[in-house]
Amino acid sequence: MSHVPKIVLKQLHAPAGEHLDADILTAFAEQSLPESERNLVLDHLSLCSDCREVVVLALPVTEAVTVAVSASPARAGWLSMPAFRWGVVAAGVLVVTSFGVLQYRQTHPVKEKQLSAAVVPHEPISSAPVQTPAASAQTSAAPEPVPHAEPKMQFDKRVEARKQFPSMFPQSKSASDAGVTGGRVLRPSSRASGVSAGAISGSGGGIASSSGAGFGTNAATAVTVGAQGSTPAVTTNAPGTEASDELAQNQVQQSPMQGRSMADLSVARAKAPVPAAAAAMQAPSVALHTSPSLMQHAAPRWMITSAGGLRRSLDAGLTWEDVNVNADSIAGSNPVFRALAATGSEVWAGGSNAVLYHSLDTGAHWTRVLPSSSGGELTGDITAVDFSDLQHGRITTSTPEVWTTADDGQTWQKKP
Amino acid sequence: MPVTKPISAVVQSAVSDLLVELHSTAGCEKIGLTLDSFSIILCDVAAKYLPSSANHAEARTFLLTLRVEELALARACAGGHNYAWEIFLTRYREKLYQSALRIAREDSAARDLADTLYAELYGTNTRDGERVSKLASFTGRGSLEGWLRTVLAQEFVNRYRRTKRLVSLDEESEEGAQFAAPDPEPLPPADSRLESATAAALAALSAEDRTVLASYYLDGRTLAEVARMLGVHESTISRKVDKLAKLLRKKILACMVQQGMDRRQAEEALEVDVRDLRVDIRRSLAQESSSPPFSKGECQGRRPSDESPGRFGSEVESVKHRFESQKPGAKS
Repeated sequence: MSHVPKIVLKQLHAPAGEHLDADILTAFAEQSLPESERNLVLDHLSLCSDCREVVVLALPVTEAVTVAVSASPARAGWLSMPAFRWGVVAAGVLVVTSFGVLQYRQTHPVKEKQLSAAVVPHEPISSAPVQTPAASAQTSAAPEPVPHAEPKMQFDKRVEARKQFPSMFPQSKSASDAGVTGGRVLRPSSRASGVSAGAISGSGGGIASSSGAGFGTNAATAVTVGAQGSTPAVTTNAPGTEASDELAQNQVQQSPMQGRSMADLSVARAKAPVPAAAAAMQAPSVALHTSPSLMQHAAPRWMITSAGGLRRSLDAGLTWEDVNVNADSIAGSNPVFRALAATGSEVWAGGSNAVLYHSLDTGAHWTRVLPSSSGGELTGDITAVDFSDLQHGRITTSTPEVWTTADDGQTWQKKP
Repeated sequence: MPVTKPISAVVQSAVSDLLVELHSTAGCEKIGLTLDSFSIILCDVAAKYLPSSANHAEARTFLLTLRVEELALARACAGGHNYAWEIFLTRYREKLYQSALRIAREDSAARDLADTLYAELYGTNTRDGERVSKLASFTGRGSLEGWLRTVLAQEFVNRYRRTKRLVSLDEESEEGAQFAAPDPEPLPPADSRLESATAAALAALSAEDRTVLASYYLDGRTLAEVARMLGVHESTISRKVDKLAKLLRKKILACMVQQGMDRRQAEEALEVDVRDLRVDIRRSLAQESSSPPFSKGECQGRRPSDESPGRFGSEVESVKHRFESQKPGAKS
């Protein structure tokens, strides 16, 4: 971290006046002070180390700790299965190698053509052996198109990949040998889905760990554990079937470039300034959540910049444009967004100080939504927005509160 | 709760508007608070925090943001209502001890801390022959649980701060600080232009930015702690600290150049200070804080300097010696 000149510290250390009372400090720590009072408190805190210490000491126990605790049994559960354990290792190797290949390709653009056929199935998110329609679409680009039945085609494709990257498939080497000799081995589908599930959880793990690294160093170890711990648990809940279908669907529309930008997107999102617990949940869910919108060609993609602004891409991630949430409705500053959910053309974005915006037309027009129920209204910062479909949504705040809606945000209920 | 300001008519009318509604949401019936007494409490709280210029709508909003249920409970306890105490104890007894343990990080100190607070909550202090419970000062701005933690933390800081910050001789020699070289040369007196440039640069920052700087550089808080303190994400703080440090440097330099120093001279003036940054932290932390303790009277008797030598005495003395013997050398 950069140095600050000594004189700055000396002047920061000026003595403050009267201490703040416990009520105000509590309200400050709970983020429930109005802006003007909050600034007064900050004024005092900037001068008074005693009060700063009090605030830090009185912070509630982190939510991240509870996440880590609840995640650990699940983790032990599925890691104890050897198949999964090896699956994770294999997938990890795969992810690392594919990043390596990407790097290589960037530095050696001449060889791109030869490599691309082999590389395509190994893009970070759309990581390898989840093939089905994707493979058939891509085989046309492969050097030797094989006009066989579809299963065979996939298989050849995979074998080819294996020849290029034998180290990635330690567990299925014998099978690949059989494939090389031309035997028409139709793999039992369960096996294939097992591998793909491994790949998915692997890529999820990759994202989680990179986002963990993004969170920084110091005391965030508990946070990182939470993120990594819960990620595999989530992915195993969606084994093979649905998740891989969706991912495969995604692949149909994704050229290698697009695959990459999607990986960037999800990583960026996990890094966006949301508290750890929310990020941990988001990392695995991003790929699944945005998938419905990706099914339509050129459906918009969304991301949150590090500064809390919204960005939209209408060309599947090649170019991004800033989206302004008509700031005239709130005078002065732009809202800072922390969480986002997009279902088709509907977009929900939430952020600091309970700002929640809703757009029905992919971001052309926005309306501010103020969730309230008989128990009061939503306060604090919104840290996560999840919409399972157009009607049902769920908002988590830093307070922490959970708000749900079952009618596209018309009415809200606060969960105790 | 002494009334600090006269209660304005605006507050009065806002309170009477909302009184019945708040009275029932707060569940005052069960814990023996009548409409009248609750109205007095609300007026007190509003008068304490609302600026005198507040209009009716502001007063309303303020009252609606209060945690009236917990406010009523605390005040009923302060009034000695048995059922209220029962509720309070079931809800908070366990949490209170756990919070104390988290703050003090050591069992006996935690127990001590929690017990002291209990005594204060029951009201050991007497004013005009009446017991005054600390709960009578709770105003419902934040949650009662958070308030209890804050009060514990204040008590802890009052009592242990001065001993906690001092490092024992053993630890110091482990860290090798014992053999640290004395200041190579006396500091040149700070340039007055540098002083004023720094003051201007700092004053231009927002209060939040200054708090971030002080927490990170002065208190040695981790980024995660600063982030949680301000309720934002750690990465935001990390970026902010970096940005602020650079910005400050740039501004101070620019300001000094503006005042007629040449660029190189200005940089030198700033560099001199960067070099002994660590020395200064140590020294400034060892200084006694000039601010008063959180609750006057009560804690005065328990300052560590007055504490019996059994627990901290000898250690404190030796460490103090060390600092005193260091100081003249550093100052000369």
